[in-house]
Amino acid sequence: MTTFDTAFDQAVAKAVPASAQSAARQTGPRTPLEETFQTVERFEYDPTRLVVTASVVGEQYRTLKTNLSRFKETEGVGSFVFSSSMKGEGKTTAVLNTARAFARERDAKVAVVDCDFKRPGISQICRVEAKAGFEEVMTGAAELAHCGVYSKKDNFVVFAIKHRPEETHELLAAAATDRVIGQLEGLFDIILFDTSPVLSTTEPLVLGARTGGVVLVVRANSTQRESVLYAQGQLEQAGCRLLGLVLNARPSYVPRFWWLRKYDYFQDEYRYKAK
Amino acid sequence: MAANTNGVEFRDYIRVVFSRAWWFAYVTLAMVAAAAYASFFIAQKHYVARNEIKVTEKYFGSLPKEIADTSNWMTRMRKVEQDAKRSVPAREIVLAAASAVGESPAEADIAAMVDSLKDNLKLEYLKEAGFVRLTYEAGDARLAAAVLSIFIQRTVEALVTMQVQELDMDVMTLSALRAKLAADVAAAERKLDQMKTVAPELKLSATTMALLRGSKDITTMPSTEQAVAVFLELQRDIITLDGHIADICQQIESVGKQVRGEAETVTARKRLETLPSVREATKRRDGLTLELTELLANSTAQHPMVKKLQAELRSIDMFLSQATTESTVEVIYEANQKRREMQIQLASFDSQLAGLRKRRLSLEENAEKWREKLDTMPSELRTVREATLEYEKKADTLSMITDKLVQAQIRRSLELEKVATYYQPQWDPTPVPDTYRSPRHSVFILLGLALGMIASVFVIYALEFADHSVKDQRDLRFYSKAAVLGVISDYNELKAVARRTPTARAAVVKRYLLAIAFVGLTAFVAWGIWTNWPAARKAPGLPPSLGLSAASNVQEAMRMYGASAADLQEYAGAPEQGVDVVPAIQVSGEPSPQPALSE
Repeated sequence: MTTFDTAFDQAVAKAVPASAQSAARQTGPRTPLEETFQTVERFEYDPTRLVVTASVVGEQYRTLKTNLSRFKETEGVGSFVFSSSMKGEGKTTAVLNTARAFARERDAKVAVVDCDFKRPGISQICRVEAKAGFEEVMTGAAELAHCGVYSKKDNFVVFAIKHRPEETHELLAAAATDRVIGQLEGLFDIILFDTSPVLSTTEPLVLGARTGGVVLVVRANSTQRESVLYAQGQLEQAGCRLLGLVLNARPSYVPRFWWLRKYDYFQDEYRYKAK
Repeated sequence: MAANTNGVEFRDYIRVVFSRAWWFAYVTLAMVAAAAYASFFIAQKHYVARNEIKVTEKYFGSLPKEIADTSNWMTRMRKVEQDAKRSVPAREIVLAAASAVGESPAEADIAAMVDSLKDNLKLEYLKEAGFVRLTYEAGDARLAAAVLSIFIQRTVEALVTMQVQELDMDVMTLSALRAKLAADVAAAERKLDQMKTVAPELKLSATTMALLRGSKDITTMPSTEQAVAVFLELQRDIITLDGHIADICQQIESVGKQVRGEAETVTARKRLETLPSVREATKRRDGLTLELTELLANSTAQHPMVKKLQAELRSIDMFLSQATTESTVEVIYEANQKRREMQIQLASFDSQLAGLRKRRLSLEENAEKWREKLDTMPSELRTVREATLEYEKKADTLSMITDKLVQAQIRRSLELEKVATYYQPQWDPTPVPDTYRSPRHSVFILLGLALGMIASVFVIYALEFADHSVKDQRDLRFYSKAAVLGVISDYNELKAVARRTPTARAAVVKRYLLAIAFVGLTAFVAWGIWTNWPAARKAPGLPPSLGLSAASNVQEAMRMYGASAADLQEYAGAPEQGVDVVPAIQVSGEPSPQPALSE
């Protein structure tokens, strides 16, 4: 507190301890999402996959969130399909981190939908056990409310796939897709779809045509330029709107000591953490 | 970096350098490793045989300039070197060396050694020390030593030979010539002995010759030449007389013509005109006549003046007529007197001519007699005389040549003495030491380093051009033309960075380690360059004595020069003694022929 005073030269009206803040959040009134969906205290993330929120990368996801929320503000587009040209470019990680960035606002209604029926990843990362899987919702065997899991700490709902279906193309039949997307849009402001690659499967094309647009994740040093261009062509041909590209896992090509002191805002972070 | 050149910026090159830095290290290290392998396991080891020849004179100060000049030596040694490096002498040297070592190499090995002799045998003139250092580099230590020893032996021999070569040629030529001449003289002498008669020598004085020429009776027997000389003299006299006779005849003819052409009488008139008194009188008469004519034109004939003039004219006419008569008589007399004198002269000429003709006749007679005498002279006498003359001539030439030969022999022996005293090169007759020389590892490694760095640049850019993956947002925007909504850093890299530099101390330690590695690499490169820079490689200093080798055999020499244990082991079975070479000068050639001065 003294440090804050001297640093900013401002009088501090009231100092609230961090533990009190979290206690107030946990003991507050129940939100509509808590009432609708199965609620957990927090998602037990896979530590090898998820990023730290308060870091360089967290800031970058917040920048991405800002850019996406421009679509919501100006065009009212709230559903984004995250896809990539090839597999393994960081779609799931990007979706979850973007959702975390959106969910930092207390009143935000954010949903993460796992539509990658062939390689579902959300349930493993978030380690959630719902009553029904999202594939059952698509087929009409289960209600949407039975599928979603809400985390109070993370403040967003996850729709995970429980059992990997044998045949995926029937799940994304036009009527069922329209129905489910309509339900989701009724419930949430921001819906993030985690899908399969554009060049391998048809899910992103089907979903992209029925949602606000597609965000194409590109992994630096891995995705070929030709693949990106080909995926763009595919999306255009399917009538999808390409909202933009996300360059993932971009390395710092020059050594860190080269630019650390000049450009990196978070240069001291690691040192503090080590202490 | 983009594959095409569109949108390439300097930071793309920076990115390439840093992102492919490991490739740089990999390729460079691979090349260094390959170079090190080649240097240690493939490159051939060399053995250098080395010896020195001292070429400065023994005695300074008192020598002539041409002897004290050591560069003369060097020039000669260079000549010998060039000579020895030709194929045939080089082959001889190699074969001699092989036999000295006790090996019989294959034909291909001999050819290779001949080639290597041309390249690897080096002469170096150390001016301050007054040495010529010879080095020879070969794969076999003993063979290298033997080759060098034999080369030095040949060099010394050739140097001495070169010194007296010209003089030897002189002596040989003169000896041959003299022998031929001596044989000729001996033959002439034998011929004379066979004839057993020697013509009497007659040395005729001028008076005797005059007597002989004058006398018609030849009581003595002169030599053929003398007889011929007398005959020729007589002939010459006759010709002279003929000339005199011809002169006199001409004179007689001219005088006779003069006498015949002389007139009996001379015209008085002609003579009168020449007299001065007559000429005056004539002039006077002409003047008087003119005066008279004028008077007659102006006056009468009875004028006293006219009369006086007429009288004067008359007297002048009388004088003229009288003078004519007198002069004519005088002229005739004179002409007669002159004719008489000429006739007398003519008579004397005639008598002279008669005398000459008579003398000529007698000379002709005499010459005829001499001719007859010559014809009857015996032919043997002439032959003997000719033979004697030839013998004398040959004997003279022989003595002259003999003198020259003796001089040449003296010169040659003096030169040889000089060579033995001053020019004898000093060198060590003990076994030639061997230097073991390993390949220059540092050169190999430096080359590998440089080539690896160059090659790695090519490798890196080849990889970069083959890589079509998206590198950064700029690249992405350039190709896809779509908006880039977000750029997410490589979280694993960030985590790794965080893990690698957890504390400031670790960072300091890392920095020090990097600095030490950099300094070490720089020092290695500097050391390699320094030790291999030509100017920095100093020649090893000369040992105190001429005996370069404290080593008595190859192993010891190798140990002295730092050969490894493995190399020593390799040559453990080699014979102990080195190659002995006798350094003394052997003056080649047979003893010079002694001139036979029997004459």
